[in-house]
Amino acid sequence: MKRELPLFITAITGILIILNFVFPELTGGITETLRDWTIMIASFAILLGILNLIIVNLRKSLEPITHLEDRIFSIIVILSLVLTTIIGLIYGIKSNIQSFVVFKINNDYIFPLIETEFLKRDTNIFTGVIFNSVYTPLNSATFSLLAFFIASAAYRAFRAKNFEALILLLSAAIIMLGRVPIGDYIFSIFGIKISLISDYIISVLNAAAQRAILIAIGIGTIIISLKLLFGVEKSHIGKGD
Amino acid sequence: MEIGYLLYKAVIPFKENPSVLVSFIFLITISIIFWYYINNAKMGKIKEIFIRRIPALNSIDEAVGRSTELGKPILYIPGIMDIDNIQTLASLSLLSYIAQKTALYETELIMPVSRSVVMTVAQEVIKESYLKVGRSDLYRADKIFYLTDDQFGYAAAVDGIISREKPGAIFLVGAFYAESLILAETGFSAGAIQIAGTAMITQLPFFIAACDYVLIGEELFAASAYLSSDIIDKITLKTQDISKAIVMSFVLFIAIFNNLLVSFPNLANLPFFNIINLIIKTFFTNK
Repeated sequence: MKRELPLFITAITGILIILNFVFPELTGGITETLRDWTIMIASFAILLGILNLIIVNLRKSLEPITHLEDRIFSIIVILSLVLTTIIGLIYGIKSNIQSFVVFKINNDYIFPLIETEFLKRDTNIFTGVIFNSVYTPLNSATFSLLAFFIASAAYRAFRAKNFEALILLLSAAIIMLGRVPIGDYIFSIFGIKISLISDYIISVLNAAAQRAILIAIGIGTIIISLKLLFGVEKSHIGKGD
Repeated sequence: MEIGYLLYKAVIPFKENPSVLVSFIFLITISIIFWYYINNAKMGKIKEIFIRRIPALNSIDEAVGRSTELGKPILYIPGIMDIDNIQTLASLSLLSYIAQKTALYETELIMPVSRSVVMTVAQEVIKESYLKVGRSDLYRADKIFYLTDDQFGYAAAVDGIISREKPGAIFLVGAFYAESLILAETGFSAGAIQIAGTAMITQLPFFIAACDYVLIGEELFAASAYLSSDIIDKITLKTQDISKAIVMSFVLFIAIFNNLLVSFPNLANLPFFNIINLIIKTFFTNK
């Protein structure tokens, strides 16, 4: 029963959502209701996370075998959690703290950035010190690491170790040169417009490969969903076979 | 009257957007194929199927073995999305197999997570896996712990764990965003063998550049079936391949058809071409 009941609920919920997609007029706002339930359950689940965070870090900071730096980090985590919660409860959080600017590329949310406007408006201790002066710079610092990591990863990826890597290197070189005015200027000597080749690589070769992967991902998603609906996939509830 | 009204309500979305009907028919077709193969496998009509080798999945044993030899832990990162994301579910299926291997080799498995529900499910999955191979004594719930829901906070914390623990193998399997390269490059600098898998098309190039093996897109969804010894699990790959063949046939047919129409515009006057063109425009164009 421990496994059958979750599988039954999964199947019923999945079928209802599919029916709602195909026959929205018949099934009403069932998806919205289920989404609301998910939000409520997730809100309760955050308590589990916080409890786990406190227990794990308390244990780390009290255990004699833990390294000194591990202990220090654990103490900082617990202190930050307690301090932020207390200040948040006392001073409250302004509603516009929820506002985010998100870049949307190919239907994926890529880089969430905090809207600068509320940074100017909020002046209480919570948003003013903890959020604006600690959280945001730390977040930006971690994000900025990406620039250096892209450079190091690109250096390794573009080394022409074999034929495939050579093609990758050549494509990258063509695209980079095609994106800057000097590229066309250099290649005009040979009568080649490199920006056109660059556009062709991006809009034809790259787009075709990306779409092939996307279609396969879509089918893979359907199959996993069917496995869940038919009760073939049970590992998320503990397979136990 | 009642049935007529219900039928009218049911037909409305198809009138407004006929491509929904195509999606529905496609889903029903895949479901029937899926059910047919599962049924055949259950009845013992299909005993074994040929599966193409996927290097990233073959290298899991190598990665676990290497960590064991070096006496280093294994780090498993299930992405930053919640349990409602299909990639996270696929990741947890793979985790089940890896946890069994780590239990057999007696290697430490560390799993920091960014969602509390994922943490709870992962604890259950790992516990079951350890129990399955008879090593429940090795299971430690505190090795699967919650860090933060924040994207870069999580990335920074995992980077810290990689730098301090120096894992022998790192698995980055699930849904990742901008933190993918931050994690993968730190793992590379720690000298760990890295196996990644994601269906986030924007993050795949980063993983390919920084990791040793990558499960590209649908390979992630096929992973648990590939690694399973159960024919009912494996047979789902057959449905996946047949579905791909159906879609490829459609794409090929429509591409040839449209090219013919562009090259020979007079063909549009023929009734056959006219009907096909109308069907494509009505049902295969998203409105």
